[in-house]
Amino acid sequence: MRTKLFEHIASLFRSVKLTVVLLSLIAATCVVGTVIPQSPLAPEDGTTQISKLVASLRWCFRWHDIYRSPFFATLLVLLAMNVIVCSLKVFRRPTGRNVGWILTHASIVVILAGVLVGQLTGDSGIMKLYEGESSAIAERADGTELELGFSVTLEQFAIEYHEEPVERLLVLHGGVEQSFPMTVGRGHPLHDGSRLRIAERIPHAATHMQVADGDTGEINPAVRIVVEGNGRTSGNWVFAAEWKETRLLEGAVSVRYAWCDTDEAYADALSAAISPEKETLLVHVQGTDIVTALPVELGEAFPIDGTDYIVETVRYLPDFRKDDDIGEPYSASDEPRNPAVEVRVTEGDRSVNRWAFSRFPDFWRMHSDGKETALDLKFVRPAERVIRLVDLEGSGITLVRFNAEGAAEADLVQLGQKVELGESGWTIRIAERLVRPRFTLEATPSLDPRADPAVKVNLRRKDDAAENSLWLTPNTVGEMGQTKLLYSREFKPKQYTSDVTFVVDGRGTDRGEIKVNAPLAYRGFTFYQSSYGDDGGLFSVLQVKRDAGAPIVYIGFGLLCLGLLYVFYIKPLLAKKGNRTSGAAT
Amino acid sequence: MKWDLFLNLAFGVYILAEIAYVVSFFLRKRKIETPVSTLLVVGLSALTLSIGFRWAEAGHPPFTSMYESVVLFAWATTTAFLLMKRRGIPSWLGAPVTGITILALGYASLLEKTIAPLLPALRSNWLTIHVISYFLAYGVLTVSFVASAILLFGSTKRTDGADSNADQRAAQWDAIGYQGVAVGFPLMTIGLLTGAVWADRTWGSYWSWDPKETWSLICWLVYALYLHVRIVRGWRGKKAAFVSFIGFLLVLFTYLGLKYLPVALKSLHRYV
Repeated sequence: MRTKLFEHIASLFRSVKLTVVLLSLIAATCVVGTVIPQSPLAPEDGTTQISKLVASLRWCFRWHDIYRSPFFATLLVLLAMNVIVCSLKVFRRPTGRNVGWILTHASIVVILAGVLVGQLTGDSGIMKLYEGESSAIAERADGTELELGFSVTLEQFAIEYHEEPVERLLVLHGGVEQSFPMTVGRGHPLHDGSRLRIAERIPHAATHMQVADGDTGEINPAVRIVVEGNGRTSGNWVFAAEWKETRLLEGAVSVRYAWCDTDEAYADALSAAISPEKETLLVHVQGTDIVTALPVELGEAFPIDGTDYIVETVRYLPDFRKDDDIGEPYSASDEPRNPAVEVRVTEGDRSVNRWAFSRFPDFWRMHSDGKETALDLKFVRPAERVIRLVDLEGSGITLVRFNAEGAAEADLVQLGQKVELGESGWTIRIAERLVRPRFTLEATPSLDPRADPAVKVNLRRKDDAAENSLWLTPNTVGEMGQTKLLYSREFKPKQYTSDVTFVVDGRGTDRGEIKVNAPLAYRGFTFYQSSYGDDGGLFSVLQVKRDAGAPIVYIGFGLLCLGLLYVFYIKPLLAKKGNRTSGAAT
Repeated sequence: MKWDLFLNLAFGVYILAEIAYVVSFFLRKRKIETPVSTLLVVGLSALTLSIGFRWAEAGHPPFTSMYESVVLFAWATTTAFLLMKRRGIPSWLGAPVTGITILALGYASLLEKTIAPLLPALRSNWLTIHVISYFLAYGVLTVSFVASAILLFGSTKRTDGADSNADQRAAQWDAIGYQGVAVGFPLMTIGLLTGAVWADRTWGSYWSWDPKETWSLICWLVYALYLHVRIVRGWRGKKAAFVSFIGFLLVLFTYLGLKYLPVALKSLHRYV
C-alpha cells in the first residue's frame, strides 16, 4: 500500500540531509530574531490594503515575534519528526553501540516535548506588591489576570547591601565624561592632555569650608554676620544674590544683604530696605515650581496664577492652642508664642481649611488631618529683629534696623563694629566682607568612625606647571574651574528578600521567603524575586510561574549531557582500553 | 595586588614562549620543544595563581566581568592546548595558540580591572560550572579553529616540493579539527544547559530568546551541523573545516561582538 510519494517522504525524513537543512534554517531564523527587534505584543500594523498574500506571509513568518511564528514552530516539529523517524531506523537494529546515539537524539525529542507541554499548560505573570499589601492575582504579559487561588501578602521586603561600597571618580572635563576607579596615587590622563591624580583619601573625614577673597572670578558678594550676647554667639554668611534672607538665633534675627556698584542701585536698595516687612503666606503647588508669596490680609482671597486655586486667610491666632482632637482652637495669650493663620483653599466648589504655623512650617508633613490638598502653605512672620544691609562699593555698608515703634534707622557701619539690637542684650557685627568669595572644602581626619571618607584630587592642565587640588566628599559635585568632579560612593545590593505569607481560602497561613536565586514553590506555582522599586513606597516585583513541562525539559537536558559524554568521552576511552587489552592493534 | 602581579608575570612568560617559537621556526631547531612547553606550563601556573588570588580577594568566583572572562579564556586555551598536545597534536601549533593567548591578555590589560561586588542575580553555584565549561569549550575550539584555518588557508606544500604527503597532512589537520569539536561540543552543551537551568532559577524561565542565549544556541547548532556532516555524511577536509571555521567565528561574535547589536542593550547578559 506504500505509494511512491510515501516512500519519498519517508526517505526524506530518514535522511541527514533534512537534518542539515533544518538545523541551518533554525539557526538562520534565530539570527533574524536577534537582528529584527522582537516585540511580541506589537499591535497590528495600521496599514490597510495589504494583499492577502502579504498578510498570510506576515502571519506565517511573523518576524516581530519570530520564535512563536508558525514557521519556526514547523521547523521544530519537522526536526522532531526527523529524529523520530531516524530512531525507528536505529531501533530496527539496536546494538550496544547505539546507546550514545539513542541518548543524544531521544533527548532532543524529550526537550521539544517538554517545551510543548510548557507552552500548552504553562502560565506566568508578575506581582507587584508594596509592603503589607496582599494580592491573589498576577498579571500576565498580555495584561490578562492569572488567578492563583490563594492570596500572597508581602510582609516585608529587605535589601541586603555589600559591606564595601563601590567608589569611582566621575569627571566632566571639556564636555567629555570619564569614569575612573578610586585608586589612591593613580594618575589618569584626560582626553585633552591634562592629568588627573587621586592624591589622598581620608577614610573618616571632618570637613569645613575655608573662604578667601579672589581677585578674579564671579562677583558673588557675601558678608559674615556674628550675633553675640547673653553668653552665646551665632553667625553665618549672608549672600547678596537674590536679596536672600538668612535667619540667625533660631529665627529671631533676620538679615538681608544688598551690594550695589552705582548710586542709583544703592538708592533703590535702600528704599526697599527701609520698608517694613510684612507677614507673608508662601504657597507652593506640590509637584511644580510654582511658589507665590501672598500678603496675610484677613478676609482677602487671592487666586494662585497658573492654577484654579483661590487662597484666603480667614483667622489669626498669636498663641495657637487646641486641646486634644476636639474643640475649637483658641489663643492662650496675646504674645506671639505660636502664631498661626487659618487658610481656606478653594478649588472649584471644593474647599479645605488648614492652619499654618510660623514656628512649625513642616507640621503637616508629620501629621495628618485627613484633608487632601495639593498646596504647601508656609506662614512667614518677620523676625523679632530685622536687619538690612546695603553696601555701596567704595562707600561702605549701611545698616538698617527697626525701632520699637517700627520706624527704620539707618547708619553707616564699619567692619567689626558692634551694633546693639534694642534692649535684647544682643549685638550684631559684620565680621568679614568678600566680593569674590572663593570657598574651598578642607578635610582632616576625624575621630568619628561613622564619618564619611573624603578624597583629594589634583588636576594639572596640559600646558600648566601648576597643579590645582580639591577635596571631594561622597556624592557631592565639586568644581575646579570648568571641570566638574564627582566622588561616587555607592553601596551595591547583595540580596533582595521578600518575606511573604500565603493564605488559602481565608484560613491557614504559610510563611515563606523569596530571594534572588532562591525561588519558592507553593501549590503548583513558583515565585521568583524578580526586581524591586521605590515610587514613594517600597515594592517588590515577583515573577510567578507554573510550568509542567520544565521537569520534562530537565530530563531531556540530562539525557543530552549523558549521551554526549558517552559518545565523545567515555566510548573513546573504552575503545582505547579495549585496544590495549587486546594487544597491539592489527 | 597579587592577582595583578601574577597576570603580568604570565604575560611576560607567554611572550618569551612566543619568541622561542618564532626563533625555533627560523632556526629549525626541534630541541626547543621541551623548554617551550615548560614555559607554557609556567605561564599557565602563573595565570592559575592570578585567578586563584583574585577569587580569594573578591570572595566570589572571578568570572563575572569582561576582564575576568578574557583571563579565563587565556587560561582555558593554554590548558586545552597542553592537554591536546599529550594526545599527539604537533607542538608547534602552540605558536598560533600562544599568539591568540597573548592577544587576549593584551586585550585584558585595557579592560576595567577593579573587582566589583556581585549582583544578586550572579550569586549562585551555577555560575562556576556554567562559565568554566563554556570557556574550556572555547579553549578547545580555539585549537580546533587554528587547525581548520591551517587546512583552509595554509599551503600543504613543503618548500622541498614534496607534496606526496599533502593528503596525509591535510588528514592530520582534519583529525585535529574534529578532535577539538569532539571534546569541545559536550562542554559547550553543558555550558548551554547549565545556563538554562540557572536562568530558570533566577528569572523563572529556562529560555527567553535573550540575544546572548540565542547566539549561543546558533553556535551550538552550527557545531552540531559539523558533527552531522562529518560523522554521518563523511565530509572531510576543507568542506568540513569550513563549517567549524564558521562556527568559531560565530563563537567569537557571541563572546565579543554581541554588544554591537542594538538589541544587546536590553540583554540580561549585559555585564559580560
